[in-house]
Amino acid sequence: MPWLDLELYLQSQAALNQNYGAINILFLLASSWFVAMAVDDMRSKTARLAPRFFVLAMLCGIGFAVVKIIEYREKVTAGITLSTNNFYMYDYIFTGLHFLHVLIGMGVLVFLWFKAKAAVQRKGDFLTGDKAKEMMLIESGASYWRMVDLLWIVLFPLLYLMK
Amino acid sequence: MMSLLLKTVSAAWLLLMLATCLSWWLGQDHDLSAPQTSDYRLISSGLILIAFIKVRIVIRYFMEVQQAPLVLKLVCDGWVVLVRGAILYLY
Repeated sequence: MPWLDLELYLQSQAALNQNYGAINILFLLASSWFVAMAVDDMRSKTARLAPRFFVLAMLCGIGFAVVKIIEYREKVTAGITLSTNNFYMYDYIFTGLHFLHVLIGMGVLVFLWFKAKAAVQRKGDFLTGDKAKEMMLIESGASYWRMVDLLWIVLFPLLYLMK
Repeated sequence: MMSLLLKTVSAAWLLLMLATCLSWWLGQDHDLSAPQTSDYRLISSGLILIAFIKVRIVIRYFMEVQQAPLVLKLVCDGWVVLVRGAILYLY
């Protein structure tokens, strides 16, 4: 099959740095965990630690972005771009789309961080209905961030590891 | 703080980290000259399997589907099985 050039895919894949991909999974997993802790803290009557957990989650997100940018830079300086071959086209498009979601997710995390800070200041001073609404917003944002994590968990073996 | 650390979600996280290290190790140092042999196909299939087990853990414990109604649990599991099946079939 002409569109499935196995040799080419394998050679191209061998040039990818698996360590970057794996470090990035660890970053995203850690940040998801921090978000889980933050949401858990927000659920309790008096949220205290949630803003700090959101900051830690954001730092992991930034870590992911830094590693990804280093990886892209290495590739581009080595002359590898979207049009080099089919493998790299898939690689750039999949990881690029994922990166876009990471950036959106960072925005979501900033929003959640502001929400958490406000909640700490209010010291749990909520009307019941408002609390439920607020939690729905926070849980939705948090779930979006897990989705970003989930995508990378699947992309990593597909692009970097499978042969 | 300690009570937060002792929650199920932390155990789930630890498991995910370990699974990641396992995939990392499985994907490395194997004889590159012999890809697509039955051996490596097995490893690749294993990697996909591990990835989707991780996906299920993320859905259940991080996205908290564990506490959701049965229907949502079934839909999520069905989706995981379907996508995993499709990838393995295509592979």
